[in-house]
Amino acid sequence: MANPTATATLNKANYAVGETMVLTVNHADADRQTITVAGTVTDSAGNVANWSTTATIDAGVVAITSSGGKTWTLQAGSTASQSIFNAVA
Amino acid sequence: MPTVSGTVTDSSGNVAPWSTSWTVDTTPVLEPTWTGVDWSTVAPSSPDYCPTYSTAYKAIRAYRNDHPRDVVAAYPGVKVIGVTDNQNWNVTGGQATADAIVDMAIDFYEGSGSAARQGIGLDVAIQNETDNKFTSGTLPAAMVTTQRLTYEGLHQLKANGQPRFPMVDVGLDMTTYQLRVNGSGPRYKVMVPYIDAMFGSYYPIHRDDNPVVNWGDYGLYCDVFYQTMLDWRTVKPGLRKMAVWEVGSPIDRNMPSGAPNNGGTTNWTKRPTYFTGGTDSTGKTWEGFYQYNRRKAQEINAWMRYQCYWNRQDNPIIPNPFKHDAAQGTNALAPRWLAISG
Repeated sequence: MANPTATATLNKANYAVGETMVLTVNHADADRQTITVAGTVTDSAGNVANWSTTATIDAGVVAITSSGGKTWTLQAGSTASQSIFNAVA
Repeated sequence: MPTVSGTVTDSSGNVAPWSTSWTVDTTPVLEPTWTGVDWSTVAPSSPDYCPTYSTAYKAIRAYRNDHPRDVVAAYPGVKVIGVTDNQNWNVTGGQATADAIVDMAIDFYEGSGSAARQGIGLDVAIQNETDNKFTSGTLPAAMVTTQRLTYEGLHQLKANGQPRFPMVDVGLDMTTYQLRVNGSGPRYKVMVPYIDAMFGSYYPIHRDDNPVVNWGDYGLYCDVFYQTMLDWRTVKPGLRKMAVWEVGSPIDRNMPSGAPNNGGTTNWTKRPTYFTGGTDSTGKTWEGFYQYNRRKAQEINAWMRYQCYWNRQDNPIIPNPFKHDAAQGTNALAPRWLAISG
Protein backbone atom coordinates (compact mmCIF):
# COMPACT_ATOMS: atom_id res chain seq x y z
CA MET A 1 0.00 0.00 0.00
CA ALA A 2 1.55 3.29 -1.12
CA ASN A 3 1.69 6.36 1.13
CA PRO A 4 -0.30 9.44 0.15
CA THR A 5 1.41 12.69 -0.85
CA ALA A 6 0.19 16.18 -0.07
CA THR A 7 1.10 19.78 -0.77
CA ALA A 8 -0.50 22.90 0.57
CA THR A 9 -0.40 26.37 -0.98
CA LEU A 10 -1.98 29.74 -0.25
CA ASN A 11 -3.10 32.08 -3.01
CA LYS A 12 -0.79 34.82 -1.64
CA ALA A 13 2.25 35.09 0.61
CA ASN A 14 1.13 38.34 2.26
CA TYR A 15 -2.36 39.55 3.09
CA ALA A 16 -3.96 42.74 4.24
CA VAL A 17 -6.03 42.51 7.39
CA GLY A 18 -9.49 41.26 6.50
CA GLU A 19 -8.49 39.79 3.17
CA THR A 20 -9.72 36.30 2.18
CA MET A 21 -7.06 33.61 2.27
CA VAL A 22 -7.48 30.59 -0.04
CA LEU A 23 -5.72 27.40 1.06
CA THR A 24 -5.44 24.58 -1.48
CA VAL A 25 -4.36 21.12 -0.38
CA ASN A 26 -3.54 18.87 -3.28
CA HIS A 27 -3.11 15.22 -2.47
CA ALA A 28 -2.51 11.99 -4.39
CA ASP A 29 -2.16 8.31 -3.70
CA ALA A 30 -0.81 5.65 -6.05
CA ASP A 31 -3.46 3.26 -4.74
CA ARG A 32 -6.30 5.68 -5.26
CA GLN A 33 -8.75 4.60 -7.86
CA THR A 34 -12.38 4.91 -8.55
CA ILE A 35 -14.10 1.66 -9.22
CA THR A 36 -17.57 0.99 -10.56
CA VAL A 37 -19.61 -1.80 -9.16
CA ALA A 38 -22.56 -2.77 -11.33
CA GLY A 39 -25.19 -5.40 -11.44
CA THR A 40 -28.80 -6.24 -12.18
CA VAL A 41 -32.01 -7.05 -10.44
CA THR A 42 -34.27 -9.58 -12.18
CA ASP A 43 -37.88 -10.20 -11.25
CA SER A 44 -39.75 -13.44 -11.60
CA ALA A 45 -40.99 -12.40 -15.01
CA GLY A 46 -37.46 -11.89 -16.22
CA ASN A 47 -37.58 -8.08 -16.17
CA VAL A 48 -34.18 -6.61 -15.48
CA ALA A 49 -33.18 -3.42 -13.79
CA ASN A 50 -29.58 -2.29 -14.02
CA TRP A 51 -27.77 -0.62 -11.18
CA SER A 52 -24.28 0.69 -10.64
CA THR A 53 -22.35 2.80 -8.20
CA THR A 54 -18.83 4.10 -7.84
CA ALA A 55 -16.46 3.95 -4.96
CA THR A 56 -13.09 5.50 -4.37
CA ILE A 57 -10.32 3.37 -3.02
CA ASP A 58 -7.90 5.19 -0.71
CA ALA A 59 -9.63 8.56 -1.10
CA GLY A 60 -7.52 10.23 1.59
CA VAL A 61 -8.90 12.23 4.46
CA VAL A 62 -7.71 15.84 4.71
CA ALA A 63 -7.52 17.23 8.21
CA ILE A 64 -6.25 20.51 9.61
CA THR A 65 -4.24 19.87 12.75
CA SER A 66 -2.98 23.42 13.40
CA SER A 67 -5.03 26.34 12.16
CA GLY A 68 -2.55 29.19 12.71
CA GLY A 69 -5.24 30.99 14.66
CA LYS A 70 -7.68 31.07 11.75
CA THR A 71 -10.99 29.38 11.09
CA TRP A 72 -10.72 27.43 7.84
CA THR A 73 -13.91 26.61 5.98
CA LEU A 74 -14.02 23.85 3.37
CA GLN A 75 -15.26 25.21 0.08
CA ALA A 76 -17.77 23.63 -2.27
CA GLY A 77 -15.27 23.39 -5.13
CA SER A 78 -13.23 20.71 -3.37
CA THR A 79 -12.66 17.36 -5.14
CA ALA A 80 -11.33 13.92 -4.30
CA SER A 81 -7.77 15.14 -4.84
CA GLN A 82 -8.02 18.82 -3.95
CA SER A 83 -9.43 20.39 -0.83
CA ILE A 84 -9.97 24.15 -0.79
CA PHE A 85 -10.35 26.11 2.43
CA ASN A 86 -11.00 29.81 3.07
CA ALA A 87 -10.13 31.93 6.07
CA VAL A 88 -9.98 35.67 6.83
CA ALA A 89 -6.56 37.22 7.34
CA MET B 1 4.76 34.01 10.79
CA PRO B 2 1.50 32.05 11.24
CA THR B 3 1.30 28.55 9.80
CA VAL B 4 -1.54 26.21 8.92
CA SER B 5 -0.76 22.51 8.84
CA GLY B 6 -2.53 19.21 8.58
CA THR B 7 -2.47 15.70 7.23
CA VAL B 8 -3.86 13.47 4.54
CA THR B 9 -4.56 9.93 5.78
CA ASP B 10 -5.29 6.92 3.56
CA SER B 11 -7.44 3.92 4.44
CA SER B 12 -4.46 2.07 5.88
CA GLY B 13 -3.65 4.91 8.22
CA ASN B 14 -0.65 6.15 6.24
CA VAL B 15 -0.23 9.88 6.83
CA ALA B 16 1.15 12.61 4.60
CA PRO B 17 1.72 15.89 6.46
CA TRP B 18 1.35 19.29 4.84
CA SER B 19 1.84 22.91 5.96
CA THR B 20 2.16 26.45 4.63
CA SER B 21 2.71 29.89 6.12
CA TRP B 22 1.72 33.49 5.45
CA THR B 23 2.24 37.05 6.64
CA VAL B 24 -0.25 39.80 7.34
CA ASP B 25 0.53 43.43 6.60
CA THR B 26 -0.44 45.40 9.69
CA THR B 27 0.85 48.75 8.48
CA PRO B 28 -1.97 51.22 9.10
CA VAL B 29 -3.47 52.61 5.95
CA LEU B 30 -3.77 56.36 6.31
CA GLU B 31 -6.26 58.53 4.53
CA PRO B 32 -4.53 60.76 1.99
CA THR B 33 -3.26 64.15 3.07
CA TRP B 34 -2.52 66.71 0.39
CA THR B 35 0.10 69.41 0.72
CA GLY B 36 -0.25 72.97 -0.40
CA VAL B 37 0.87 76.55 -0.07
CA ASP B 38 -0.65 79.99 0.32
CA TRP B 39 -2.03 82.39 -2.24
CA SER B 40 -1.40 85.36 -0.09
CA THR B 41 -2.96 88.76 -0.02
CA VAL B 42 -0.24 89.85 -2.42
CA ALA B 43 -1.45 87.53 -5.14
CA PRO B 44 -0.38 86.31 -7.59
CA SER B 45 2.67 84.95 -5.85
CA SER B 46 5.99 86.00 -7.27
CA PRO B 47 8.24 83.29 -8.70
CA ASP B 48 10.75 83.32 -5.87
CA TYR B 49 7.98 82.80 -3.37
CA CYS B 50 6.18 80.07 -5.23
CA PRO B 51 8.39 77.95 -7.42
CA THR B 52 6.87 76.79 -10.67
CA TYR B 53 5.90 73.42 -9.28
CA SER B 54 3.33 75.18 -7.12
CA THR B 55 0.92 74.69 -9.99
CA ALA B 56 0.80 71.07 -8.93
CA TYR B 57 -0.32 71.73 -5.38
CA LYS B 58 -3.69 70.25 -4.52
CA ALA B 59 -4.42 72.57 -1.61
CA ILE B 60 -4.22 76.36 -1.55
CA ARG B 61 -4.87 78.78 1.30
CA ALA B 62 -6.50 82.03 0.15
CA TYR B 63 -7.23 85.20 2.12
CA ARG B 64 -9.73 87.08 -0.04
CA ASN B 65 -13.23 86.05 -1.08
CA ASP B 66 -12.51 86.82 -4.74
CA HIS B 67 -9.27 84.82 -4.89
CA PRO B 68 -10.53 81.23 -5.21
CA ARG B 69 -11.47 81.84 -8.84
CA ASP B 70 -7.95 83.12 -9.55
CA VAL B 71 -6.42 80.17 -7.74
CA VAL B 72 -8.26 77.69 -9.95
CA ALA B 73 -7.21 79.54 -13.07
CA ALA B 74 -3.54 79.61 -12.02
CA TYR B 75 -3.22 76.24 -10.30
CA PRO B 76 -4.95 73.59 -12.38
CA GLY B 77 -4.01 70.87 -9.92
CA VAL B 78 -5.89 72.40 -7.00
CA LYS B 79 -8.51 70.25 -5.30
CA VAL B 80 -9.37 72.35 -2.26
CA ILE B 81 -9.08 76.00 -1.32
CA GLY B 82 -9.16 77.19 2.26
CA VAL B 83 -10.51 80.72 2.35
CA THR B 84 -11.05 83.52 4.84
CA ASP B 85 -11.47 87.24 4.34
CA ASN B 86 -10.68 89.31 7.39
CA GLN B 87 -11.16 92.55 5.48
CA ASN B 88 -14.55 91.89 3.90
CA TRP B 89 -16.24 89.42 6.24
CA ASN B 90 -17.32 90.92 9.53
CA VAL B 91 -17.20 88.19 12.14
CA THR B 92 -20.12 89.77 14.02
CA GLY B 93 -21.95 90.95 10.91
CA GLY B 94 -24.81 88.49 11.16
CA GLN B 95 -26.89 87.89 8.05
CA ALA B 96 -24.90 90.37 5.96
CA THR B 97 -21.74 88.37 6.52
CA ALA B 98 -23.47 85.08 5.86
CA ASP B 99 -24.96 86.45 2.64
CA ALA B 100 -21.57 87.67 1.44
CA ILE B 101 -19.99 84.27 2.03
CA VAL B 102 -22.87 82.47 0.34
CA ASP B 103 -22.50 84.87 -2.58
CA MET B 104 -18.90 83.72 -2.90
CA ALA B 105 -20.06 80.11 -3.07
CA ILE B 106 -22.73 80.99 -5.63
CA ASP B 107 -20.21 82.72 -7.82
CA PHE B 108 -17.65 79.94 -7.47
CA TYR B 109 -20.01 77.04 -8.19
CA GLU B 110 -22.75 78.65 -10.26
CA GLY B 111 -21.16 81.72 -11.83
CA SER B 112 -19.31 82.24 -15.06
CA GLY B 113 -16.81 79.47 -15.73
CA SER B 114 -18.06 77.42 -12.81
CA ALA B 115 -18.18 74.17 -14.80
CA ALA B 116 -14.44 73.84 -14.22
CA ARG B 117 -14.82 74.34 -10.48
CA GLN B 118 -17.51 71.80 -9.59
CA GLY B 119 -15.07 69.22 -8.21
CA ILE B 120 -13.02 71.67 -6.15
CA GLY B 121 -13.67 72.04 -2.45
CA LEU B 122 -14.04 75.33 -0.65
CA ASP B 123 -13.19 75.25 3.02
CA VAL B 124 -14.50 78.41 4.62
CA ALA B 125 -13.79 80.12 7.90
CA ILE B 126 -15.09 83.58 8.61
CA GLN B 127 -11.91 84.79 10.26
CA ASN B 128 -8.23 83.98 9.86
CA GLU B 129 -6.66 82.86 13.17
CA THR B 130 -9.84 83.82 14.96
CA ASP B 131 -8.62 83.02 18.46
CA ASN B 132 -5.86 85.59 18.09
CA LYS B 133 -8.66 88.17 17.87
CA PHE B 134 -10.71 86.94 20.84
CA THR B 135 -8.17 85.86 23.43
CA SER B 136 -10.34 85.82 26.55
CA GLY B 137 -13.87 85.82 27.83
CA THR B 138 -17.11 84.68 26.31
CA LEU B 139 -17.41 85.07 22.57
CA PRO B 140 -19.88 87.78 21.50
CA ALA B 141 -23.37 86.48 20.84
CA ALA B 142 -23.31 88.18 17.45
CA MET B 143 -20.24 86.15 16.55
CA VAL B 144 -22.01 82.88 17.29
CA THR B 145 -25.07 84.05 15.35
CA THR B 146 -22.91 84.96 12.37
CA GLN B 147 -21.27 81.54 12.46
CA ARG B 148 -24.66 79.82 12.60
CA LEU B 149 -26.12 81.85 9.74
CA THR B 150 -23.03 81.23 7.63
CA TYR B 151 -23.15 77.51 8.33
CA GLU B 152 -26.83 77.33 7.50
CA GLY B 153 -26.37 79.37 4.34
CA LEU B 154 -23.56 77.21 3.03
CA HIS B 155 -25.46 74.04 3.92
CA GLN B 156 -28.75 75.08 2.35
CA LEU B 157 -30.67 72.51 0.37
CA LYS B 158 -32.01 72.73 -3.14
CA ALA B 159 -35.70 72.13 -3.88
CA ASN B 160 -34.92 68.46 -4.49
CA GLY B 161 -33.45 68.11 -1.02
CA GLN B 162 -29.86 67.88 -2.15
CA PRO B 163 -27.14 70.21 -0.82
CA ARG B 164 -26.68 73.29 -2.95
CA PHE B 165 -22.95 73.45 -2.16
CA PRO B 166 -21.85 69.85 -1.53
CA MET B 167 -18.15 70.72 -1.87
CA VAL B 168 -18.16 73.37 0.88
CA ASP B 169 -17.12 72.82 4.47
CA VAL B 170 -17.24 75.40 7.24
CA GLY B 171 -14.66 75.59 9.98
CA LEU B 172 -12.80 77.56 12.58
CA ASP B 173 -9.19 78.66 12.06
CA MET B 174 -7.40 78.29 15.39
CA THR B 175 -3.80 78.82 16.48
CA THR B 176 -1.52 76.56 18.42
CA TYR B 177 -0.47 79.49 20.60
CA GLN B 178 -3.98 80.43 21.76
CA LEU B 179 -5.02 76.81 22.18
CA ARG B 180 -2.04 76.14 24.44
CA VAL B 181 -1.63 79.42 26.28
CA ASN B 182 -5.10 80.95 26.55
CA GLY B 183 -7.39 77.96 26.31
CA SER B 184 -9.20 79.04 23.17
CA GLY B 185 -10.48 75.52 22.53
CA PRO B 186 -13.12 75.46 25.28
CA ARG B 187 -13.95 79.10 24.66
CA TYR B 188 -14.82 78.38 21.03
CA LYS B 189 -16.98 75.34 21.76
CA VAL B 190 -20.03 77.53 21.50
CA MET B 191 -19.24 77.85 17.78
CA VAL B 192 -18.64 74.14 17.17
CA PRO B 193 -22.24 73.13 16.40
CA TYR B 194 -21.81 75.25 13.28
CA ILE B 195 -18.63 73.78 11.84
CA ASP B 196 -17.57 70.80 9.73
CA ALA B 197 -13.84 71.10 10.31
CA MET B 198 -11.01 72.46 12.40
CA PHE B 199 -8.32 74.46 10.62
CA GLY B 200 -5.26 75.96 12.19
CA SER B 201 -1.90 77.63 12.29
CA TYR B 202 0.58 75.04 13.51
CA TYR B 203 3.76 77.12 13.83
CA PRO B 204 6.62 75.40 15.69
CA ILE B 205 6.99 77.12 19.03
CA HIS B 206 10.69 77.92 18.68
CA ARG B 207 10.77 78.86 15.02
CA ASP B 208 11.69 82.43 15.83
CA ASP B 209 14.57 81.60 18.12
CA ASN B 210 17.51 83.57 16.86
CA PRO B 211 20.14 82.82 15.64
CA VAL B 212 19.47 79.10 15.99
CA VAL B 213 16.10 77.53 15.27
CA ASN B 214 15.09 75.13 18.01
CA TRP B 215 13.81 72.05 16.20
CA GLY B 216 11.44 70.86 18.88
CA ASP B 217 9.15 67.85 19.15
CA TYR B 218 6.04 68.11 17.02
CA GLY B 219 3.80 67.20 19.89
CA LEU B 220 4.70 70.32 21.82
CA TYR B 221 2.66 72.48 19.49
CA CYS B 222 0.55 70.04 17.44
CA ASP B 223 -1.06 67.76 20.01
CA VAL B 224 -3.24 70.53 21.36
CA PHE B 225 -5.22 70.45 18.11
CA TYR B 226 -6.08 66.77 18.55
CA GLN B 227 -6.92 67.25 22.21
CA THR B 228 -9.22 70.07 21.18
CA MET B 229 -10.88 67.96 18.49
CA LEU B 230 -11.72 65.32 21.08
CA ASP B 231 -13.17 67.98 23.34
CA TRP B 232 -15.13 69.56 20.50
CA ARG B 233 -16.65 66.19 19.65
CA THR B 234 -18.60 66.37 22.91
CA VAL B 235 -20.53 69.14 21.17
CA LYS B 236 -20.28 67.89 17.58
CA PRO B 237 -20.02 64.11 17.47
CA GLY B 238 -18.48 62.87 14.25
CA LEU B 239 -16.29 65.93 13.75
CA ARG B 240 -13.38 64.56 11.67
CA LYS B 241 -11.97 66.96 9.14
CA MET B 242 -8.82 68.90 9.90
CA ALA B 243 -6.32 70.91 7.92
CA VAL B 244 -3.11 72.77 8.57
CA TRP B 245 -3.82 76.17 7.11
CA GLU B 246 -0.43 77.57 7.98
CA VAL B 247 2.93 76.26 9.11
CA GLY B 248 6.43 77.41 8.49
CA SER B 249 9.92 77.80 9.84
CA PRO B 250 13.16 79.44 8.90
CA ILE B 251 16.04 77.31 7.77
CA ASP B 252 18.53 76.37 10.43
CA ARG B 253 20.18 79.68 11.24
CA ASN B 254 19.38 83.36 10.98
CA MET B 255 21.37 86.53 11.15
CA PRO B 256 20.08 89.34 13.34
CA SER B 257 18.87 91.01 10.17
CA GLY B 258 16.84 87.92 9.42
CA ALA B 259 18.88 86.77 6.46
CA PRO B 260 19.51 83.06 6.46
CA ASN B 261 22.75 81.19 6.82
CA ASN B 262 24.36 83.08 9.67
CA GLY B 263 28.09 83.01 9.13
CA GLY B 264 27.69 80.29 6.53
CA THR B 265 26.87 77.75 9.22
CA THR B 266 23.35 76.76 8.18
CA ASN B 267 22.62 73.06 8.23
CA TRP B 268 20.57 72.80 5.05
CA THR B 269 19.33 69.35 5.89
CA LYS B 270 17.43 70.43 9.01
CA ARG B 271 14.35 72.16 7.69
CA PRO B 272 13.49 69.72 4.88
CA THR B 273 13.83 66.65 7.09
CA TYR B 274 11.98 68.32 9.96
CA PHE B 275 8.98 68.96 7.75
CA THR B 276 9.00 65.98 5.40
CA GLY B 277 10.87 63.28 7.31
CA GLY B 278 14.30 61.76 7.01
CA THR B 279 17.67 61.84 8.69
CA ASP B 280 19.52 65.11 8.82
CA SER B 281 23.28 65.45 8.56
CA THR B 282 23.71 65.19 12.34
CA GLY B 283 22.14 61.73 12.28
CA LYS B 284 18.87 62.89 13.82
CA THR B 285 15.91 61.10 12.25
CA TRP B 286 12.71 63.09 11.95
CA GLU B 287 9.30 61.55 11.42
CA GLY B 288 8.35 64.74 9.62
CA PHE B 289 5.81 67.40 10.53
CA TYR B 290 3.64 66.21 7.64
CA GLN B 291 3.78 62.57 8.68
CA TYR B 292 3.32 63.29 12.37
CA ASN B 293 0.11 65.21 11.86
CA ARG B 294 -1.30 62.80 9.34
CA ARG B 295 -0.73 60.00 11.85
CA LYS B 296 -1.99 61.87 14.89
CA ALA B 297 -5.24 62.68 13.12
CA GLN B 298 -5.69 59.04 12.20
CA GLU B 299 -5.16 58.02 15.82
CA ILE B 300 -8.27 59.90 16.87
CA ASN B 301 -10.17 58.86 13.76
CA ALA B 302 -9.88 62.34 12.30
CA TRP B 303 -8.78 63.18 8.78
CA MET B 304 -5.95 65.61 8.15
CA ARG B 305 -7.21 66.53 4.70
CA TYR B 306 -4.34 68.84 3.71
CA GLN B 307 -1.43 70.87 5.02
CA CYS B 308 -0.47 74.27 3.62
CA TYR B 309 2.93 75.89 4.07
CA TRP B 310 2.95 79.63 4.67
CA ASN B 311 5.38 80.77 2.07
CA ARG B 312 4.91 84.52 2.45
CA GLN B 313 6.44 85.25 5.84
CA ASP B 314 8.07 88.63 5.34
CA ASN B 315 9.11 89.19 8.95
CA PRO B 316 12.91 89.50 8.61
CA ILE B 317 13.41 87.74 11.93
CA ILE B 318 11.53 84.68 10.66
CA PRO B 319 12.62 84.02 7.05
CA ASN B 320 10.26 81.16 6.28
CA PRO B 321 9.88 81.24 2.52
CA PHE B 322 10.91 78.32 0.37
CA LYS B 323 13.36 80.46 -1.51
CA HIS B 324 15.90 80.47 1.31
CA ASP B 325 16.99 76.91 0.58
CA ALA B 326 16.09 76.80 -3.09
CA ALA B 327 19.80 76.38 -3.95
CA GLN B 328 19.60 72.89 -2.40
CA GLY B 329 17.69 71.72 -5.48
CA THR B 330 15.70 68.55 -4.92
CA ASN B 331 16.86 68.51 -1.29
CA ALA B 332 15.20 71.85 -0.60
CA LEU B 333 11.93 71.96 1.29
CA ALA B 334 9.64 73.02 -1.55
CA PRO B 335 10.07 70.03 -3.88
CA ARG B 336 9.98 67.63 -0.94
CA TRP B 337 6.80 69.28 0.38
CA LEU B 338 5.16 68.75 -2.97
CA ALA B 339 6.48 65.20 -3.38
CA ILE B 340 5.01 63.90 -0.15
CA SER B 341 1.48 65.03 -0.98
CA GLY B 342 -0.73 62.03 -0.57
